[in-house]
Amino acid sequence: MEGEEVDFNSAVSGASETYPMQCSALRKNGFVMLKSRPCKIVEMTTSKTGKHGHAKVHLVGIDIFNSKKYEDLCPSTHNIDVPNVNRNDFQLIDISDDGFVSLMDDKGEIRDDLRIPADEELAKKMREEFEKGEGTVIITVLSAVKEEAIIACKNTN
Amino acid sequence: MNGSHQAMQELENAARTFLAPANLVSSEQRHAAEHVFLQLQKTKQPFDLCKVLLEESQVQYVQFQAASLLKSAVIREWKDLSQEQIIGLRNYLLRYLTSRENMENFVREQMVLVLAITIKRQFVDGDKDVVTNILNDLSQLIMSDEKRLQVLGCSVMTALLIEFASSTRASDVGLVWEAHLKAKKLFETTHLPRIFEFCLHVLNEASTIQQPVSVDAMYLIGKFLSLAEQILSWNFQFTMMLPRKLVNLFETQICPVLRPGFAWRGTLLKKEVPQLFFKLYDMFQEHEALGHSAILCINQLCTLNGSVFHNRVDHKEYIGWIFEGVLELISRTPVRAHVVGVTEAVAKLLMFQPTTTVAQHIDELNSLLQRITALTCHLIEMASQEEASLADDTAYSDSLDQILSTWSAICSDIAYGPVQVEEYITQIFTVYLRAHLAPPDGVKPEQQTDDREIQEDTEEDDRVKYKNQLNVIGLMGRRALSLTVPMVTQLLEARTVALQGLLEQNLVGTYQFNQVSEDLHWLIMIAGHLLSTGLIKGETNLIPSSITTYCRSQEEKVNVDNTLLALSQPSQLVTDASVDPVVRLVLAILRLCLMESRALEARLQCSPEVGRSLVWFLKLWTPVYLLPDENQYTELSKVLIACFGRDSEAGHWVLEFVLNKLKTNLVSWSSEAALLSDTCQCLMILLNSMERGSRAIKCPSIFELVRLECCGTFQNLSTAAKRDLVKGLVLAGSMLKEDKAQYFEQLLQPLQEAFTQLKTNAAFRRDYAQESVRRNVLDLIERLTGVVDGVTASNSELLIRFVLPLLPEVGALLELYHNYSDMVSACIQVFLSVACNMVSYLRKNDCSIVYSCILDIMKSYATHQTGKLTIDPSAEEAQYKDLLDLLTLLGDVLLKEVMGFLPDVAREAEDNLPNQVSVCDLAFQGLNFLLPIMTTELLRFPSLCSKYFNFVNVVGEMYRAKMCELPASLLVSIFGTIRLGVTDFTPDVANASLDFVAGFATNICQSRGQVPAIVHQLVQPFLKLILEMSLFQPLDPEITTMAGSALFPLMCCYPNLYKELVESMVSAQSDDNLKQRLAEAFSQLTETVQMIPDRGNRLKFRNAFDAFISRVRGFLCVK
Repeated sequence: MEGEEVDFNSAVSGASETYPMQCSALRKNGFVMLKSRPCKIVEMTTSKTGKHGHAKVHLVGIDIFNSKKYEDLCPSTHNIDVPNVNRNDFQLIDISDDGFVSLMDDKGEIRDDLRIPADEELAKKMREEFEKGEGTVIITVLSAVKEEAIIACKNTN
Repeated sequence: MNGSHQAMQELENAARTFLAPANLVSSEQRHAAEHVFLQLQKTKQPFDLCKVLLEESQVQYVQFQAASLLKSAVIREWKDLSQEQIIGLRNYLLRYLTSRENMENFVREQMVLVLAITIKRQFVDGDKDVVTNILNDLSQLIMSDEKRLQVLGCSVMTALLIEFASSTRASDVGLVWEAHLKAKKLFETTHLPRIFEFCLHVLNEASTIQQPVSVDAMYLIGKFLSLAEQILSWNFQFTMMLPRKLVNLFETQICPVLRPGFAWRGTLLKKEVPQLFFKLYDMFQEHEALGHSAILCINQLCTLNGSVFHNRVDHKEYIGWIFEGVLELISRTPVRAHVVGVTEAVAKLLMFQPTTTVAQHIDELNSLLQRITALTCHLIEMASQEEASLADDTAYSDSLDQILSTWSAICSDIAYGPVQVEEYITQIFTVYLRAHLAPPDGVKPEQQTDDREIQEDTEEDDRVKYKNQLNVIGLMGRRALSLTVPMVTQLLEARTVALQGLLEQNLVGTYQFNQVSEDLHWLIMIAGHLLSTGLIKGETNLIPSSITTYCRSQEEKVNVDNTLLALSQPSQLVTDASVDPVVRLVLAILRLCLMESRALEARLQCSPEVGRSLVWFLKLWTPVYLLPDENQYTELSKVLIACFGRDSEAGHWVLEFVLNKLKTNLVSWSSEAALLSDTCQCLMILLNSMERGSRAIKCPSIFELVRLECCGTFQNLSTAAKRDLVKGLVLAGSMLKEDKAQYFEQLLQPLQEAFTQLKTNAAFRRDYAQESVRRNVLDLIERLTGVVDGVTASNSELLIRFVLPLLPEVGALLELYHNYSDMVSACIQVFLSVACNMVSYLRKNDCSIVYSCILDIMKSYATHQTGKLTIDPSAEEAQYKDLLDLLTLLGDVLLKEVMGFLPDVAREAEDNLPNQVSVCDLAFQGLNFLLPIMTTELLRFPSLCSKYFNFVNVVGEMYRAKMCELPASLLVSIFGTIRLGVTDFTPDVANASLDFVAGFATNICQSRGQVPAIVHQLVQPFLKLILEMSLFQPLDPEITTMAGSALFPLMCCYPNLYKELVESMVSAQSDDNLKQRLAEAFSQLTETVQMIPDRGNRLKFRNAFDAFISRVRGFLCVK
């Protein structure tokens, strides 16, 4: 069970989409794969069968992309997959008529492959802030297991 | 009259609509109907209308509404009613109640209430005979043959008692509470004894009825028993004039002790009185409600004390009567429904009657104790069955707790000296032990396969659940150590052998395995409580003197060398009779620890519950017995010192043994989060002592722990556990006298290097978001927090040098990971711990550095959070927690400043150092960053709300002058929240906000208006707001006082505005009579007070305001 020396070089760029972790090491507000979907853990409780039984972890997760709720119960000694979740900030450059947005990252590279989010309130806020033309509109893009979505928006002004 | 009939028609229609099934009327229709009744309640002078409705309407709901209207009208318009009108009303009510048949209960009770209120108001107004007369009427009703009238009589009597018993309803009937109190005093000396005598009379007759008793008679007996219970629970003690909030405190006592004045002597001090209630309980114990009332009466009689007793002889005689009854009572097996009541009677008798007097009845006391012992043993068995059946009802368990706490009093009160309790105690101890062990040694009911799902987070574990019981069992056990220690030791040894056998045969998880584990779990708990008095906060736990005495008494039989030899071979069973019995008991536990460790290393699955109990034992035992401070004792056992003492070789050996066990837990139980947390906490407690800490550093296990910690082995521990672990390791090092630096280098350098690497490593910049990298960083931050947790006076210099340079790095990590709430929260924790544990030890310059780091993280946090819209469902909760932490952080620093624990940065700044950040800057700039995020939605979280308003109030209190100079926009935001605080949240928050306003207003007055215009603009509107709140809203009694304290300085600041407001409020009243009364009330409010907010006038105003509120509320605020 002994851990390895901390080495930040070991993580290779473009690392796997998920990696395994012992169930007992999960935490609330962390991420986990439930029913093959990347989820944020919103509830985590431990229980045991009988007074002298071993701990089991009961997980309730919300799919980070579509907000569906998933649950799982597993012995805390087991391994479970954890997704690599990225949250990157981009500057909003443009919103096109066909519902796509242009975003620029901090290295100045531009991408325009993302749609405006389905959530109406967020989409409205993005449009409003963009049309105001004041300050910089920052968009947070969430990515995990080959999926991406815009999840937040704010104006630096 | 026509108008009234028309109104009645309308009301009846509305009632039909209002009460119609959901599918027949629309919600608008229902609301309209409801509105009709709301309007009805506001009718002025409604007496004639009420009569019509009460007499002519056939709709019960309309009658009920009429009765309610009558009630509020009586309260509201009392002062306008003439003497004749009042007498007429009272007679009418009584006539109505007696003549109407088939009245619904809810209508009758409402009318009874009106009658009771009317009588009380007349009584308060000085009509001395009103109560006597009504009591005469009532006794006639009760003596009549008609059940309806009897019920009515009892109802009115109950209502009268309630009205006179309570003064917290003051605002409800428009009386100041002094009036209530006077009425209560008078009532309880003149009328209450008579009512009680009457109850006794009726109950006496009831006690002679032949069984079976008819249902009607039962009903009446029930009514009178509960009347008697009401009187016996009367709060006689409370007779002083106290502030209103204290009145609440007294009156919310559920059953105060029975402590009537001397006047009650004749009524209560008769043998027949207790006898009657014991007899009634005996008659009706099978009946749930009647039995309950009777036992409650008995309980109250058991508490009788105070000036009712003329002298000790009186008292002794009374106790004799009670003894007789209680002895009889507990000689029968109590009915399950009343078992709590029965044990409570015993408990109250022994708690409230003076021990010296009780002990004079030596024979009775002996038989009482004998019977209590039998009762206790019975309860232990029943509670154990209750537990095994997993029943929700815990009557037996509760009773057992109750009776055991009585035993605890008996065991520790020396006044019981002459009584030999040892025999009883050993009997109880043995029965308790047996009840928790499986057959054949014990009698624990067999549980079928235990496949319950136990929620670890919500269900209390046994160590907590049975703590009180076990404490007493331990206390009892220590009274008979020569019996209990060998007994527990032998059982532990035998069960450990049994477990070993099961493990070897690989029978883990079987029924037998669970049974042996369960036995061990209980034996460990009992052993722990036997050896230690348990943790008492704020006291040093010592080896109980009874243990020392016992060890010393065994010295002749004991051989120290043999004992040491046995201790050095924990895996060997002890057969040598010359081994000290207490050491042998500890050894039995250590043997179990060793066996568990070996099993774990062999990857066998032990019971985590037993594992936790072992850690619990070590947590309790080590701080007391291991390397004890001998200066704390006048007497110690030689053999204990030889085995566990500071200078003994064996003591160090045991320390290493314990550390090794804890280390094994950390490495081998990685999947049991709760056990790991316990282990880390135990380690922290163990190392948090000069002696043990400094010796532990020399143990190989500590080196191993430091090594494992530094290479990230414990990364997966929960945050709290990890922090405890690191804190423990830090504390241990602090105890070192030499080589301190070397130890810390070993512990801290890897952490420092890892942080440096983050700064310089290009790969980290690229991969920081990857889960594995993120977890490593999170681990670093949490370990750093643990280090800060461990800062103490003795290590602060060294640790501050280590921590300070890392704080900006933590700030940078918060910036980098701003999109990851868990990372953000972990970074904030570092600073929270800095504020809590480190700032008091900082030098002036360092303070400023820390404050600017704190402001940097707040700025960074605010930059990314302000105005952000996200669809992440957990974002709001995360934000709430972060804000709560940040405010706690600011509050902690501020508190330390208030207490004078911090160096005075501000003064230093004026002296010579420019650009220093002071606590004041920290508070204001912190507020400036956080306020834009603090939305109304977030303030709905009660803890955040209360934290914020208290913080702002303290900031206002400390830096008011500087606050006045803040930028207008910030002031506007602050006062905006204060306004919400006054009106929208809990009384606690409203009080803090009002206090804030009061402070500013007083300040403005004292500075003669020399404050910026914006401050005036912000403070002034509160005058109108608070005035309107006080007049028109049902103000919570808890905030009335504070509202007054805020109002007064505001009135002093803005006298003209106040005048205008008063005039407009008066002229806004449509009714001339009301106009006049309001104007009078306002002039009375200020007539004795000078408009200067000094202490004297503030106090005068407070009283005037209290009177004003109850005067005005009655007619303005329609409730």
